[in-house]
Amino acid sequence: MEISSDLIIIGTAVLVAANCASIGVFLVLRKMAMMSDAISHSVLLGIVIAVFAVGGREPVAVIVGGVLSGILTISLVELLYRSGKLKQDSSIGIIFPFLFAIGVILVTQAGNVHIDVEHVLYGSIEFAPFDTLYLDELNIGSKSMWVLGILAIANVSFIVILYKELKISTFDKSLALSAGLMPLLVHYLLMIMVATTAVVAFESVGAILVIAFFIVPASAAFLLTDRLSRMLIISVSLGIISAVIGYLFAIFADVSISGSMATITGIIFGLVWIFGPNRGLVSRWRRISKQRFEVDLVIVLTHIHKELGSDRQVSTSSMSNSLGWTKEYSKKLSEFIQEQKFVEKNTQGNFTLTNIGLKKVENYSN
Amino acid sequence: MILEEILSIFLGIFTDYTLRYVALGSAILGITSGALGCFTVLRKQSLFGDAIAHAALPGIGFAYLFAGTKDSLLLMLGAAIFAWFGGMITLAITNTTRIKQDAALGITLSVFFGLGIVLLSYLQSIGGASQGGLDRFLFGQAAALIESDVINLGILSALCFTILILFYKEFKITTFDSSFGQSLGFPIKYLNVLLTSVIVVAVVIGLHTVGVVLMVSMLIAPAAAARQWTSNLKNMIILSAIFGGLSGIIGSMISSTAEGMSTGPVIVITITAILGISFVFSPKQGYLFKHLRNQRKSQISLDNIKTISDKEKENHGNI
Amino acid sequence: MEQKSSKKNSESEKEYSVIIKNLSVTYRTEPALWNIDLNFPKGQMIAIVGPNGAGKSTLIKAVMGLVPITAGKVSIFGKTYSKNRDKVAYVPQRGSVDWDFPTDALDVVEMGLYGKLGWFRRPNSKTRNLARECLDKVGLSNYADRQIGQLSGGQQQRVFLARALAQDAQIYLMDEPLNGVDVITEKTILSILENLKKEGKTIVMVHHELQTVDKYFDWVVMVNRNLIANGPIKEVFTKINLDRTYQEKQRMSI
Repeated sequence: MEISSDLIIIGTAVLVAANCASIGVFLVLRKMAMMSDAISHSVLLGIVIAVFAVGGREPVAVIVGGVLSGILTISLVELLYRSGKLKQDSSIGIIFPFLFAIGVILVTQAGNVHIDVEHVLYGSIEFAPFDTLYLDELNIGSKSMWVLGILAIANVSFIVILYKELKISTFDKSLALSAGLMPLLVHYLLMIMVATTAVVAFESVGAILVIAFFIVPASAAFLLTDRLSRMLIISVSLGIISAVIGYLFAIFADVSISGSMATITGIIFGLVWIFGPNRGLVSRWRRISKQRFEVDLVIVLTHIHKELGSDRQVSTSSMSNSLGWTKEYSKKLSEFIQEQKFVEKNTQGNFTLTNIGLKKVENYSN
Repeated sequence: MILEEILSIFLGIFTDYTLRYVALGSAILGITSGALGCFTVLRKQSLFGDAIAHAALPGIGFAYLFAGTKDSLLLMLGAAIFAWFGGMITLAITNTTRIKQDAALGITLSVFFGLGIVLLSYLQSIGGASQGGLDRFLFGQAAALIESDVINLGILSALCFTILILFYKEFKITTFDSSFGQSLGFPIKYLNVLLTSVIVVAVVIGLHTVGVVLMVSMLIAPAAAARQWTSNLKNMIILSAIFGGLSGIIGSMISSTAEGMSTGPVIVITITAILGISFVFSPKQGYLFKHLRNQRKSQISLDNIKTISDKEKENHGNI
Repeated sequence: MEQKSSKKNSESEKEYSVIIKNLSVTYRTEPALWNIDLNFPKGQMIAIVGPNGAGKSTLIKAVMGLVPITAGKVSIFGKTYSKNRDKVAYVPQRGSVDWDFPTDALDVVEMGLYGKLGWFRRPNSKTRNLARECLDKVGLSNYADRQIGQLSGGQQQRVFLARALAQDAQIYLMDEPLNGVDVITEKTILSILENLKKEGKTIVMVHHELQTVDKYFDWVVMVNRNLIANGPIKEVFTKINLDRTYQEKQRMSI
């Protein structure tokens, strides 16, 4: 089985992206994004201890160690903030640096662990092709691809089987509870999947890219759709696109692969954030300024209507005075309402409402 | 024997030239981040510090790329600008989209860090200058501090404290009750900007000693520990600064005894240990005293209820 | 005509401490307050009532410029709020602050004096004594150095009132100060406000309990985004107005 090393690296990255981006959707929706920050750092400790315990980087031992330390992190964080001494974010910010610091010291103290401290952060996906798996002396391909592939199957089945439970417990915890869907169990299962994904992905891309793939594509997807199923698909697609483009850019510019992938997730998010339909900054800004103008328009017409009703006259200058607007803005508005024939000016330069104007006011008040 | 050893390490601060600066630098970081961390914790922005610390990394890369020197002030300026920018992006995401704060923090943190890694690896690939001096910002390398660095850190720290002392009253009211502060006429927006800037400076100082990844701990842990001992903001800030400074000194001393033990992680473990001790032993809220109190409470609870209600009556009697 | 209106203004300034004209506040397209003309008479206890989301809190916040005003004007004794802010004291909702904050009762009351202190000046023994007096007025002098989280809900509300007293203002804007407090606190707060009223001060309170409106207040403002009614209790606190205020969907009146 000979696959080019480029393809193995891209394949590994794509699998990491797909794994993280799918699970990440639930983290983002459940407001637990920073939990992935904590877990992806503290798995280091479990991995190091596992390596110590079995005397080598056995995949199963590493995964078990990592998952256990992930669970330890979650439990410690919850223990701390349930005790009422700290808020949740403070608890996260204390537990994971502590566990990570212990991990770093263990790594540097024991020379035989073969974990490079920097690579803990930004991984060593470059070496994925060289780490092959043997089955009875037979080279069956990249180890990371195998592990990530199995994880992908696990993640997909997790989401498919528990889709209803995940959905309900994410959007309405109390409903899930009353429907007997055990939101707490779902919560812990999800956390175990997060920890497992983090460990496996951590091995190839490092802590920070794990966070990037967990959070950034899912957040971008959140800005593009309201449907959970679509959000999952978009998130995974964006993750994969980032992985591929990121890899190509890294090769082109001769820079860190994982760093480049994280940067691309950010650029894609930025594009969605600025130019996205409906929720993007541009369309949001357009909509808001249009809405503001519309509201101000009705305010003016309502004002004129009210003043006429109590036998007072309204002119452009009295308008700016009584509504507290600048002269220029009042002028702009008064020109607009005359153009649109909402009002007419009488000989003294005062406004009267036309039928169209009256209708506009009535429409709004309904 | 052990005592002697500890004593000799301690004396090392005065005799050992390198250790002196390492300890001093770490202490400056601890004091500054300890004091300012109180505000991040009280404003429920604990992880904000994490995000801006990560966001600082590309700033270091850019500063080096454009200026081509490892002048620490310049690198710090670059770091500060990007830390600031990262903070603003986080706020902008939460203000203009439906994305919640936690995800916004995660986006800033991971993307900026990724960009930073790209820049550092680029610097490495164009060769010439080894990036050896730059990746120390990941975990910090207090051991690399030299006299001029420490002087720079000292000046920045003094700047932070001057602003903190000058605007203490204003920072306090905007943190506790911002709408009331606004009704009094304090420009809440500008005060928030100022406070964030000071925190950015503290983070930038921290990049030298504990690095990007562990910085968040230096902001939160001392403050959380101090809060266990006092219910007064001023005392909390002072105590938090002391805890932070102490962990800097102790951490750098311990790491100087062992080969290859980086200072950052040791400092973080030290401050977390101080926090743990505070949880157990603090008189007001500690587990130990709570346990003792609970034992005694059951006996005297009846009397207590009586005296409390008497007191209440007394108080309300003279209204 | 200009002159006429200014003369009219100065007349009403004698009677009213706050004059609100054409006030609209909108959050995006959602109007929170719509076209409100309203004056708060001097020396009265004024209740603001209305259903949830009717814009009661927004109304008092708009007076102080704490929320952006879409249109309209507010004047405090004839001037803008920023020029007359020392004449206004504010009691925010109790839930708006973190009661775990490391501070004690006396310290919170002293914050009421920060505005008068201005920039860079630190609280001193004088402000401390003033704060102590105010704390004494609300019957909490024994709780001065108690961490605020250790106080009962009613006591916390009294601390907030003491802070407003420290501001020594002409107008007291209070956001649901009687919400969920004990009987003693309610009595204490009302008797203090009664005294303030006798000194000619204006008290404006967002109030939830309709049963007590006619007992505690002289004047009522009924809002549901629009101003429904505004006047002395006897005249406007009627079943018809209440029904209009609390009817399910409030049309924007033209």
